[in-house]
Amino acid sequence: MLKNHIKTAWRHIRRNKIFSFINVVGLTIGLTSFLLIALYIFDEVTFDRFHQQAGNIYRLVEHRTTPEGKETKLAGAGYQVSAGAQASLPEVKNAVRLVALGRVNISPPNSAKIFYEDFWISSPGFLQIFDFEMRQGNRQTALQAPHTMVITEETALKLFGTTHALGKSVKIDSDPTPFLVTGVLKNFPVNSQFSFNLLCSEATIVNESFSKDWDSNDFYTYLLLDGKANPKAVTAKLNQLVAANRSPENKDKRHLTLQPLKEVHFNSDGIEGTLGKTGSLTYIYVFSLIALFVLLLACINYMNLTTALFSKRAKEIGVRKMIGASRKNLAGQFMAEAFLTTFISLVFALALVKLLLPYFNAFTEKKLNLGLTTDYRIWLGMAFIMLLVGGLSGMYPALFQSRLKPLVLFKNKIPVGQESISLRQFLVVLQFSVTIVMIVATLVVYRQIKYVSTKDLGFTKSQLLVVDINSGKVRQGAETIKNEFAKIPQIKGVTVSSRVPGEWKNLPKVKVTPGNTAPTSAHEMFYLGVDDRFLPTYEIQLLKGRNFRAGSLADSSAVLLNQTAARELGITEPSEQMIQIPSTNFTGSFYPVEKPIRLRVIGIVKDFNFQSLREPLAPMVLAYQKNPIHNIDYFTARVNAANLSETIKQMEAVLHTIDQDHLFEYHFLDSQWDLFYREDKIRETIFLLGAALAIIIGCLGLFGLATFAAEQRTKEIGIRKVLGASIQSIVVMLSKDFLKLVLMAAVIAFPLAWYAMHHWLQDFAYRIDLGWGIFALAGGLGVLIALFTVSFQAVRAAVANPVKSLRSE
Amino acid sequence: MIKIENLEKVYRTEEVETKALNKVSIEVNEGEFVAIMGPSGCGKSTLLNILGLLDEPDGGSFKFIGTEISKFNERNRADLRKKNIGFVFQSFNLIDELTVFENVELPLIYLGVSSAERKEKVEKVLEKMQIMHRRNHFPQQLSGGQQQRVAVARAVINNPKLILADEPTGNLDSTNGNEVMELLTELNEAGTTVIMVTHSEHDARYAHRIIRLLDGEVVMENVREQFSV
Repeated sequence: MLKNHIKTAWRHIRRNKIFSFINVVGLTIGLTSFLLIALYIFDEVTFDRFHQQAGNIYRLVEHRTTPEGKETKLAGAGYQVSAGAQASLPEVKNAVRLVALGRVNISPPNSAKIFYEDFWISSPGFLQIFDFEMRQGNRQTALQAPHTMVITEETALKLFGTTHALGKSVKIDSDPTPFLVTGVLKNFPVNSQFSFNLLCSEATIVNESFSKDWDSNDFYTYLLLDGKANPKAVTAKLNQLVAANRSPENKDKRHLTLQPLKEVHFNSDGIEGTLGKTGSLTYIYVFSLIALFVLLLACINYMNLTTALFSKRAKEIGVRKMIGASRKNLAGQFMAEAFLTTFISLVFALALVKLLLPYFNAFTEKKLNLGLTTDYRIWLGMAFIMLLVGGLSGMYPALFQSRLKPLVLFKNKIPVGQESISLRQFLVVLQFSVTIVMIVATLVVYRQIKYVSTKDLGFTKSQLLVVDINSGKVRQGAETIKNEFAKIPQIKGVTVSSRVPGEWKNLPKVKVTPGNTAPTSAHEMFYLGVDDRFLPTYEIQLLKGRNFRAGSLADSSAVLLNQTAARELGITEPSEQMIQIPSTNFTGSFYPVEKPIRLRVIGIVKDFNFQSLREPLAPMVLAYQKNPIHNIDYFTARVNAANLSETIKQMEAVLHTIDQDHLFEYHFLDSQWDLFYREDKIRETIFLLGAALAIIIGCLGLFGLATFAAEQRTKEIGIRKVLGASIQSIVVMLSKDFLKLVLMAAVIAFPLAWYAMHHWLQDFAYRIDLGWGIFALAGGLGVLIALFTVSFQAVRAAVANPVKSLRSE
Repeated sequence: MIKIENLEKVYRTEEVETKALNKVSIEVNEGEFVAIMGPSGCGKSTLLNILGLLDEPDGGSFKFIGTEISKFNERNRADLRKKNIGFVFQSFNLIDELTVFENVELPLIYLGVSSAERKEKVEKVLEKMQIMHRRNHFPQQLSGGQQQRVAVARAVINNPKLILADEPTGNLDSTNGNEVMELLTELNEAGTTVIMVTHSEHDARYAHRIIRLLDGEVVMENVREQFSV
């Protein structure tokens, strides 16, 4: 029987090529999007969970209350906390602390190959608590002795050209003693919060202050608890222990909590210093919904098309019934067809997933993979989905069509009630509403991104090359380097500054009071240290007063203000007015400086955007490069586009004459600015893909409905034609109904789209207008797509020979 | 074998009520060959559908092999139908996706007959219908006469007690039509009861008895001896 079902199903699929094609395309798209999203979600929800003891590992988070009463959370604890907990609390089976002590240059001995890496140190517990696969070395002893290190295979390959690095030595520029490689780890999986290239034994670093450190939060600390331990009780005991050892002033303002390792990825909002990428549960929910929605729509379309085709098959089913087929037999046959179609679609979907994965990985910044090494749960899930989709798609035809009496089938008088038509219409309206919302969203995001990336920022951001200052030698030699840079013919101007507009690290703030007024009237302003070449290099306009003078010592107490800052301070003409800076803010909270810094206002510059255009213009103090608050950190050169690589080589050479070991790091400022809108770019892509999916699926649904309608009205069309109706008038008659549906969809979609996009645009201080043009364009596109889809069936029905349709009655 | 008494069938729409069958009483004995004739709309197809257990009467009694079945539900009727009745139609009603062999085999599959037994039976009946050489062809590749032979083969594959033929020669030329009528006669001579609806006086002459309907009522019954009248 099964063989017969499958054989018939296969022949049926082959005979109805167009419909089978549409069904397979619909299901393939549905399954492909579902599989990609499922892979993504699976990777996200298994983040950090692959450690055998993951359920018993906790991260320490310190909660602090600042003097202003603001609570901050930091991932980290003092040096002594981990060892103290392990020694005093029986529930703590193991503990590890680790920290990155800046960046260092590493190289194999006697080699010119130098790599700039984070210098991580850790206690030996790291390899015992976490299950990262060790390819070489002994995980119990690898991190015990001083000057030993564990590296990843990738680092081993970089340093030695082979992954067999056990026993080799590595030179680190900050330490005269070479390090011994005591372990090689398999590269860290992408869904882990840890991803360093080298990890040194903490015994290497001898530091007096560590022995008393119960207060800092410098050390990432993880505790492995006994399976039976109560984390709440452990937290209480731990806080008692820490409070007993802490310096008195911190006792009331700080406490520690234990955060389960499994929660770190999704629940680290507002916890500073979290390692690795954090995830968003909202995204997971939204993506799950999208995946299910797309799949469901594909199934519904299958049902729609199958039932639409039903009148063509009624006779066959009637014959089967007449010669003895039971309902079960027929249901089995419909199910076989649905499963076979789903199976074929799944094969295509798998191929498509394989093809798309590299792009999907680039987009999601993941390393998802579908193959023999893929987790068995993914394959199980896939089998389940196939059964579900096949079952869902085949269920309706199986239940509905197998129920009909043979005579009804024979006469082809299938009771397709009004309700089933309105259900179809409802689905088409729903699908097209989604489509139009997606089209509006795509258009809005596209135009807003275009707007923010081309808006005049008050300075010229293109062709500015920013070079990091990574060593004291370079900082001290900045003047010489600037002069040497300026000699390179392709460089039109060079400046140094503490930060740059569009800064991707933190931009410090200061409180500013005009004259000698009380600190209560202080204004918060951003702070930038610059030299005399800053304004010309960035092409920022000086409105009033004067710029800094090159090499002037006196100017170290002078400042320029932007227009907003001048307005806030009530300064219209710069005339060496005094302002005071009583406190600074580098990390999120203001701390008073020892003695208020007094500065003179010498000029006012035109406002320029130095933050993402989500933010409005803000007041800024431009201080001289030699200032007591912030050192210079960057060179910025305005370069010619021609011969860039040559220019960059020459700049690197100049830096290396001052500091041979200096790592040459550079960025183009405009591409850094683009990073501000990276999330928005991603959003744009998601909307675009969503729109494309919605359009395809919506069209399939509409096509099914149009086919169905054309079939239903065959006789009517025949009679109209016999009575003299033109083809044109019949096409219009058939298309008009669908046009109404799409217009209805637009009416539903427009307010939703307006609301969502208006809300999104509020994020931007600078934004486009949500004019009617965007909506008209989206609605017009929806109508065009729908007409195109429907007209195919409408024309076919209209040109059919009326004699045929009338005779068939 | 079949005994119907005062059988009624009414078709209702919102405003019109049409009596398709009005107190029809007929008896058909085992081994008989009966033709039902009458003009279009006289109710002969309705009668055939009820006799074939495809439709249910609105009144009267219907005994099939001694069992009163007018109140049977669809499942019971389907079961009875599957085991006892074979159908032959004007438009052949073969399934386009299945080959000649598979079309004839289908009733046996639904009866749960084993694959080996099916093969034997199908080949035997195909031989008998002289269509064996076309066993792997699809219906569209056959002539009308050949298709109707396949349909007859399918109708007799599970040795039904009754064959219902609805205008079996309506789509055939006279040569092929005669062949099909010969086939039905042979089956009847081998013991199968045949009831046939036809417009053709020529075909009706193959029957033992002709029942004539008009406006849903039996107006005349002739036995073969009276045909020339």
